[in-house]
Amino acid sequence: MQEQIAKKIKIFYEKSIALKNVVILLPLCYYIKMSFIEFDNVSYTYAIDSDREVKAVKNLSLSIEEGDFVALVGHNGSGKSTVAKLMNGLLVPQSGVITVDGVNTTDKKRLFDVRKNVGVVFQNPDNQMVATIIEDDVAFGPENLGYPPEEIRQRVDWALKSVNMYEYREGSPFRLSGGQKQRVAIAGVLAIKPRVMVLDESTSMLDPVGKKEIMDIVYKLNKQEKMTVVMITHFMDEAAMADKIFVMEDGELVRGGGREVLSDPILAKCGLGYPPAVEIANKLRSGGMQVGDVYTTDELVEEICRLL
Amino acid sequence: MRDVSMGQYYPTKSPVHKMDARAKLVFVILYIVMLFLVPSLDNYLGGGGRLGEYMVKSGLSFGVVTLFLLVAIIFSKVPLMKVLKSVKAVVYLVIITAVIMLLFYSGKANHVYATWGIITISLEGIVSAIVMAVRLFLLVMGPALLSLTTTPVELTDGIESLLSPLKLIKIPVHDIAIIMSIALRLIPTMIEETDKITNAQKARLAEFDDGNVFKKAKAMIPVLVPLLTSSFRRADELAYAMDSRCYGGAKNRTRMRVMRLSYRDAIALVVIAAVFFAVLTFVYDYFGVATFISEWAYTLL
Repeated sequence: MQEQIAKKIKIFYEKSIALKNVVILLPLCYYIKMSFIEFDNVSYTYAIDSDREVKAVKNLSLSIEEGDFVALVGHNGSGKSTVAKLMNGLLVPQSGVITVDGVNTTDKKRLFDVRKNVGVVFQNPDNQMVATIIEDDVAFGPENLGYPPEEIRQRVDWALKSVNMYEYREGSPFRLSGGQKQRVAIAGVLAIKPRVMVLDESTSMLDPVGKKEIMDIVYKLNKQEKMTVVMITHFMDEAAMADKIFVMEDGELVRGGGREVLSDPILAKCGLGYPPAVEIANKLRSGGMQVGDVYTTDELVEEICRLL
Repeated sequence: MRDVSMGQYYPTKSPVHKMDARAKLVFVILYIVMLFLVPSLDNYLGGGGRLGEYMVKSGLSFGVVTLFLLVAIIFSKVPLMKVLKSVKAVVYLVIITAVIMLLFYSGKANHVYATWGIITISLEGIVSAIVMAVRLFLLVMGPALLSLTTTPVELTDGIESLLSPLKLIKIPVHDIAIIMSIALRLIPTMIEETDKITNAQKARLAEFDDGNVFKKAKAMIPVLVPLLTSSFRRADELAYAMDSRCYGGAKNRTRMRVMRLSYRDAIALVVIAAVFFAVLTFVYDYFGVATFISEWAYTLL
């Protein structure tokens, strides 16, 4: 029922943008409590040649609330990276509607509002750096938004401190390890102070140490700073840290829900496999042990300790 | 691998490092102009001057400029060797040119020491060779000190700021500056990538060191093609990253580092103006200073 009302109001909202009559609608949107990020029946097609195209995202509907820790999983080519780019208006859907905090991402005039709210950290840290000095690179976002120099300085210092890279601020990014570089990239996004951070396979080029560094920071941001995190990955151990999991295959959302998705057989069907803890728990169960629902290694350890 | 993008920047804290990049750029331009205020011997003699006078004038002018450069180096706390190292790249060029100038001096020579066919050794030849060598060395060292004391980022920012009046005639100064800084930033990445591709090709038995120039050039094709395609991909991704960090060109953009002229720049301006004036005085013989000194030198001899 509520969903239907939401949909109707959204249609009205779309029309009212044309009428420039947003004032009445903002309170209404809050009243029915729209999700922070909403995908409604979104499709996106890449044109490779004039006659060849790839449907990267097909009729995708999902919603992400503020404060969520979401994992979007799927194997290569499942369209999950396209979703990241759709979330902050780098790409706009050919059909369907995406709203971020009530703003349609196709609204060119408010594009910066969308991008201020949703920051994306990409896969390759080398391809995200703009400047040759770390603090200059972190300052890039706030500089673009036209903040006064003192505020940019504050934001840069805060962002670098929250990724533990403050002492490197005057150095060059090229001597850093992959994990450190990616932390700088995260700081660059943090300095914009977005409400949602999207990590588009941001750990896939890192070694295990670098991966852990990034995951710790992301976890801390979500739990302490209450930042919404959307983690796009094909590593199930990373996905196990999330509270909400969406599984994509071939451009479609095949499963979405709480952590129980992590032990859903659909994962195996999508070629993803289970998180290591789930796998071990399954083996233990087949061996006759009464293991409860566990998803992360820490949980598994605790569960086994409880049983012993 | 040496970090190319930092240029030859020598990180330390000194009054010269702290100066405004724009001021430093302007001063370097003034410095170069200063070096060329001293005419060549050919022109000077052609204008009816005397060799002795020329030696005094150019000696005094270059002396004062060298003194200024030395003072600047001392204040910058950059080791003298670092500055001299910058000359290394041009030292052979300068020596060869100087020798050619010495042997084939084309102007009118009154003090000839020896002649073999077309080769003549004359005092004029020696003097003009020395003047040219000194001029070239000073010409290299001044800008070298600039790049030793200023980061490439500061330099591009300085250039952007200095060129900003050109915005009035619709020249996209900001875009040029950001292109420059991204190019600087991508140099080390590209070098790394070239290394990687070369090694990958070597692992598949490609040869880069054998054969003549053409063969070597041909062997580079399997390196250059993947390098080019990967740069395009890189550029695409960088554009996405910049876009998602709200890049929208120069419009409404502010900077974290605000360039401010300070008392240091004022002091430096006074000093460089004094040196400039001194060179002018020597070259154009204001107040008869150069004449007085050369007369004095003659009486001494």
